[in-house]
Amino acid sequence: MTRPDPIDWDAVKQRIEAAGQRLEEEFAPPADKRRALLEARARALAVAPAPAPGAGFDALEFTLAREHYAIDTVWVREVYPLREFTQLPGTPAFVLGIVHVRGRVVSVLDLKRFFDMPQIGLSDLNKVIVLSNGTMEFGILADTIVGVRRLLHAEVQEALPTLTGIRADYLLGITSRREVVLDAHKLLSDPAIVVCADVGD
Amino acid sequence: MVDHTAKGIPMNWLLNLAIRTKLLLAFGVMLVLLAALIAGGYSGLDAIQQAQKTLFERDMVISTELEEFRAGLNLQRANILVMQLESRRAEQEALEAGINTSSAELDLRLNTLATLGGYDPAFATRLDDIRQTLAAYRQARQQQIAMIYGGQVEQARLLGTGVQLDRFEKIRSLALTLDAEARQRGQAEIRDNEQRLQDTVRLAVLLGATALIAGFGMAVFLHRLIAVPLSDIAARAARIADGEIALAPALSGRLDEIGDLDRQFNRMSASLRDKAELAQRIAAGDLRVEVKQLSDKDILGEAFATMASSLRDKAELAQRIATGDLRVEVKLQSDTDALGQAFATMVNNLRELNRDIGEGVEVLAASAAEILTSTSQVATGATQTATAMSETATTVEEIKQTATLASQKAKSVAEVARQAAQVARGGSQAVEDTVEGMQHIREQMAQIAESIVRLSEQGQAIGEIIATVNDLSEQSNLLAVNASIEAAKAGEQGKGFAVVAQEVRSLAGQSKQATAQVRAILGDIQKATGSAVLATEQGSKAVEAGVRQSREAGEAIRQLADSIDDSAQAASQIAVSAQQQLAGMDQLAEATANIRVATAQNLDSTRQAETAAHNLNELGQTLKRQVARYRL
Repeated sequence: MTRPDPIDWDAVKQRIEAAGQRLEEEFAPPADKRRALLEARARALAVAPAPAPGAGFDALEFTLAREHYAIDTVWVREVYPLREFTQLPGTPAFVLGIVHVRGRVVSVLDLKRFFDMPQIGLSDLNKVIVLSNGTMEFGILADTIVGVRRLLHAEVQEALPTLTGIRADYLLGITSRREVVLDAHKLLSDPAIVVCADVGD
Repeated sequence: MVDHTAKGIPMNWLLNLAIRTKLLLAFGVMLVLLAALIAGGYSGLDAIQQAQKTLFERDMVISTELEEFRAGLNLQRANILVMQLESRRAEQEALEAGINTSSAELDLRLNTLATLGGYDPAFATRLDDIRQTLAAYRQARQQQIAMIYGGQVEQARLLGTGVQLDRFEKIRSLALTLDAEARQRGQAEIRDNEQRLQDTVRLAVLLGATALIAGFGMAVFLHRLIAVPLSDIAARAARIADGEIALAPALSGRLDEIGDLDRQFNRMSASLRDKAELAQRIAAGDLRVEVKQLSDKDILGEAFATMASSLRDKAELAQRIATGDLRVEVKLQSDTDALGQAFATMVNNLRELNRDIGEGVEVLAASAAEILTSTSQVATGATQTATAMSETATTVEEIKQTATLASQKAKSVAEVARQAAQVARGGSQAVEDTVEGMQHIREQMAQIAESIVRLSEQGQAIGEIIATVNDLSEQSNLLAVNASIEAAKAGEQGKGFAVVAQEVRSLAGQSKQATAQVRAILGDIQKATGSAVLATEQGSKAVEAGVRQSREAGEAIRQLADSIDDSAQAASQIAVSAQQQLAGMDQLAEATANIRVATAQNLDSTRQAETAAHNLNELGQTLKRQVARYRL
């Protein structure tokens, strides 16, 4: 019967102590380290942004069924996390329901259904992008928000001929990074979106 | 005792008087003194009585009579005075008759007085004087009475207050004088009587004192003369009664009864002493003593003589018995002759004894011969026994050697077994300790598992925190997007704000990445924890198995120890038994040796017994010859 090597308890203790010490340092770094970190951040912020090479627009980039979409921020009122929503009976399938945003009731559309895209279910991570053109206001559901980016007009190409169906009607173009740019103005002013009141008949 | 001879010749003469004379003399003196006392007292009392009688019968009566006389006289005078005042004739005559009666009484009284006081001429003279005056007084009174009857009251009164009053006073004074004299005489008598009484008492005291002194002197004298020597002699008699016969010196040459008693006492003591000496010599065995009888009535002397002769007879008898003549005839002195009866019984018993001894000696001689034969046979047997015993002793010695070896082996085996038992006990103890240690390890294992589970639970808490942080970063991201949108709406003025929003968005992204990393690490930790718990569980199971095996090993060792203990006990019992066996063998060897010695002694004794039987046989023959010497 072979005896196992005896455990070096001193080494184990030392290791545990060192780990504890490192943890302490992470949460309360020493003054010089902290200073270096802050200076690095200040330098990064101090860099002046590069001037835009031409005419363009700011676009809100988001994902929908693993595809990247962008939308001109002129039409975006705000972004809001989907917490609670109320389904409305008697509405088309693309109408998810209504949500309550800062004292206003906004209806939410599910573009995946609208564009006949595959469904992946809802979660707390889903966001609502509230679109508005002054007269019309509604929200569209997004899987994740990537951010706001400046897009050049030159960067946006014509829509691919492979894109057909209902989506094609609301596309402005596609970027070199395979981002689909939606035409929010068209969406807002589309009568197909407006739900008829006498749907019950 | 006081020697009375020293008191002189008159004392000697007094001593030599017989006791009867002495007593008569003493009582005579006392009687004379007593008679004188009585006579003196009687004569004194008689004189007193006489004087008293005279006092009562003469002087007291004279005084009384004179009193009465004066009273009568007064009465008569009073009557005359009344008559002078009375005018009635009848009353006057009655008063005259009373006066006459009183006069007769006065004459009687005068006669009585004359009789009583006749012995004194002075008294008689005075009494005659009274008589004459009284006669004159009576004549004048008759004239007065006649005057009263005649109506010459005034003349009568003059007569009464004149001569008649003088006469009356004279008679009265004379009577008073006589009375006083009689009283004086009575007082003188009383004084004489007192004197006589004192004389008589003085005489009586004098005579009584004399008689007391004389009586006391005689009592002392008689006591010293009679009682003291008598008590002395009584003490000597008591000592003789107690057995002490002492010769006392003779009490002077007194010729009275006491002296006689003393001399006879000394004679009696001497005689008793002689007898005592005689008894002493007889007691010492001297039977040749000659007993002299003091008189025909000397009972003690006669008894001594008879005793001596009787004892001489008994001595002679004893002498004959001593020479072996048992045919003697013992004559008894009386029915209660204890010594004679004892001698007779002794002689009879000796005869019977001698006869019995003779028969016994016959039997003894025959038996002695038989004993001699048997003893010779026993001696032969004893010789053979001694030889066999010697061989037995040798064999026992060899067995003893073997037993000693066996005992030593058993001892060493017992010692080894004892050590083995001790080792087994040590092993058992070690296993117990091991089981305990294992138990401890199991508890430690449980603690480790508990700690790991807690660690895991805390990891979960960290996960929750991380989720919250993730959520926060998501919200930050959204906020940044909204800020960017607002900045874009602001146009050129919102450009700086857009940069800040971009930065915020980048930070949110970094946070998200960090949380993702933390989540990955937490997953690793969870996995490590799971494997640690698993390892702990396996370790715990291994410890359980170790405990069980240790218990089994402990049980096995305990049984082993028990069985070794039993073996050790058995070995020590064997050792003890071997020891006892050895001791027994020692005793056996010793006993055998003793028997061998005893057999040798037995042999010697048998040989001695043989010799003794020889001697016994010869003794029987000798005894036979001895017994034949007595003539029955």
